[in-house]
Amino acid sequence: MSGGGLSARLRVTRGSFALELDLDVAPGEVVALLGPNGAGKSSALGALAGLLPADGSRVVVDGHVLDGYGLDGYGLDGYGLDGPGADDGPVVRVPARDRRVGTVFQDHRLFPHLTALENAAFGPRSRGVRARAARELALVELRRVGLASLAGRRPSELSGGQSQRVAVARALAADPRLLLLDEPLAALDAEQRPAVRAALADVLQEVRVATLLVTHDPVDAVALADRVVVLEEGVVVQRGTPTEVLTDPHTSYGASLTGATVWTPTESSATGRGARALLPGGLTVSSTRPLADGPARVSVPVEAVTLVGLGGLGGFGDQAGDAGRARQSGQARNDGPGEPAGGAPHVPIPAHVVSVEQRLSRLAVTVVTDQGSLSAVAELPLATADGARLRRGDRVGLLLDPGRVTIA
Amino acid sequence: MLVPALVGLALLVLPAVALLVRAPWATLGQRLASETVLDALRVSVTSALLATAISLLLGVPLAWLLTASDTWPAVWRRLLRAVVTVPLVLPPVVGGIALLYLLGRNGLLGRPLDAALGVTIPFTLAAVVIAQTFVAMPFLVLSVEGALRGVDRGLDDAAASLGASRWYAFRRVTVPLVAPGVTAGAVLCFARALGEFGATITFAGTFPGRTQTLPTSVYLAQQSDPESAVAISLLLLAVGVGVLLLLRDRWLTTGAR
Repeated sequence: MSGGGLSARLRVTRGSFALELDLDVAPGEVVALLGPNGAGKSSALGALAGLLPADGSRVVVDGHVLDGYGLDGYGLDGYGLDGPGADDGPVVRVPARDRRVGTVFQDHRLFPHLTALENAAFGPRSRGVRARAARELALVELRRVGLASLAGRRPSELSGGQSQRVAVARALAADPRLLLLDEPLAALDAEQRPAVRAALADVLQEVRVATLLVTHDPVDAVALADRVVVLEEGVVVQRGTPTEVLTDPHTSYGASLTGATVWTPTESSATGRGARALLPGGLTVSSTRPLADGPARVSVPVEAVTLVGLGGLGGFGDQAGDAGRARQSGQARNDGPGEPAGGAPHVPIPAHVVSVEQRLSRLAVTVVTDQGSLSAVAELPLATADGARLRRGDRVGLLLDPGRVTIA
Repeated sequence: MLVPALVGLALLVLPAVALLVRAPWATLGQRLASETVLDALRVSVTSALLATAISLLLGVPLAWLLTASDTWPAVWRRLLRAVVTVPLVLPPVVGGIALLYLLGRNGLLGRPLDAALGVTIPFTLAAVVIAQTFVAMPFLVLSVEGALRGVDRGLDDAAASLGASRWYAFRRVTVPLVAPGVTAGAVLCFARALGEFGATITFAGTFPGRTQTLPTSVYLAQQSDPESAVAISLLLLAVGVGVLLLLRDRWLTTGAR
């Protein structure tokens, strides 16, 4: 409760869906809330903004209780708790207009009949700031997002990127204590996105407002956020820095952001040289990384996967590329199939190809193991005939780089 | 395809042409300046303005109710919409007779009104206004409803998140955004009220200087003084075209904003 920023315990129930999300955002920090559709991101944002029901949530921003659910032993900083007995129901629900929580909506929601300047001045004007002073505040924020020259334009005369920046300026001009960004780049063309994203990163760096960013784009998280919270089906499945979450995803959703896969082991244990996991179908995987914390999993990033022909035909793709990389990272790939590597028997796992897709100069090959039906994705250079000839149903061997696989 | 289209077009255009051809241009000013016509014009404009004002006062909330009815059970929602739309499809004469049975001296409400307050409505200016409102208000209601539905509800959330009170958001966001639709509806409503004939003549009669409007005076003049009837018809035609231009201008500017 002391200190600034956001401290929230969100508990929202709607029908069979329950959101249970504890969030802390320090002043000046940007936290990304990452999750698939229907994970509860919008419910969380709506509850924080005061636009959707907050049920039994407790939300404190900069020491101000915005939603106080009476909890035993919690003082409410003088907000409306009328006695020690009043701890069994929502006691505070500050309406949206008084929360000082700014939202940049996915569809921007600029007022179509007002100019960019009037849009940005709307917040100060709402709070009773005189027209001239409000316009000055608005202009400061428009200047910050680099749009002062378009102050006189109406939303219909702005591009998607410009309209997004006006939405940011408008939210900031209202002087929020907490800034909520709801998929701020989702409405933009792929071409506009990088420039707008970079500009947004600069602005967030400059204003140092506690910011919660909702997105399903991992690039947003890496570019904008200090920390990431992954939400699935209403509960937090992982917290960490963007790098941690993307390199060691705890769930299939987290893995899918980078094309990686996560397998669920039946048993995992620490070994002398790292960790080892037993997988469905009797497969074993070893890692030279120490046994990790968190839910039991085998994280298999794309870089860890090498495909080889069965029967010792050698690797697919550029030997100097994939195989070379595997060698550098300490895998005894050249020992050949069947020989011990890193203390564990290193045999290609029999698998078959289920899809081949082009990704720029590479081929993404999805395979499924014969035993256990575990799927994995490997990338091969596009410019090799043997890789490009792979098709659905082809039999391959799967090699995993123990230096790149995480076991927990 | 083209021939029937042209025939249809001719059907719409030729009557107006005939009116223009047969107009007594030489005596037009004189005829329009006659006491009967000026009285009818005064009654028409006064009653149509009053009907429009009442329609705004009652019709805007009714339009809001229509948008709010989305959450109602389908039966009630449809019933409400049907009730609002009926005057659009009902022959106005029937509306006039219905009004007589409601507000006439022996009507459902008319009798107690007469007995208690000594108020009789039929064949007064009030009756003209009521008849016109009955017929013209649905035009305004449907136009305003369209405008209200066109306003993105998300803008209210945006306004609230910026610190705006409900009233401030209504004043600065909702009102400016629905204003063009309300204006268009009011103009349409005024034009319909000005041209109202059937309900008016049934419920309010056609007493010169009191309840005789331009359309009812046309009808009477046609029997005694056809040239005057043509003159007044031209006046009404001009008003109609004027309204159309006004609306077109309205809609063009809203489209650009």
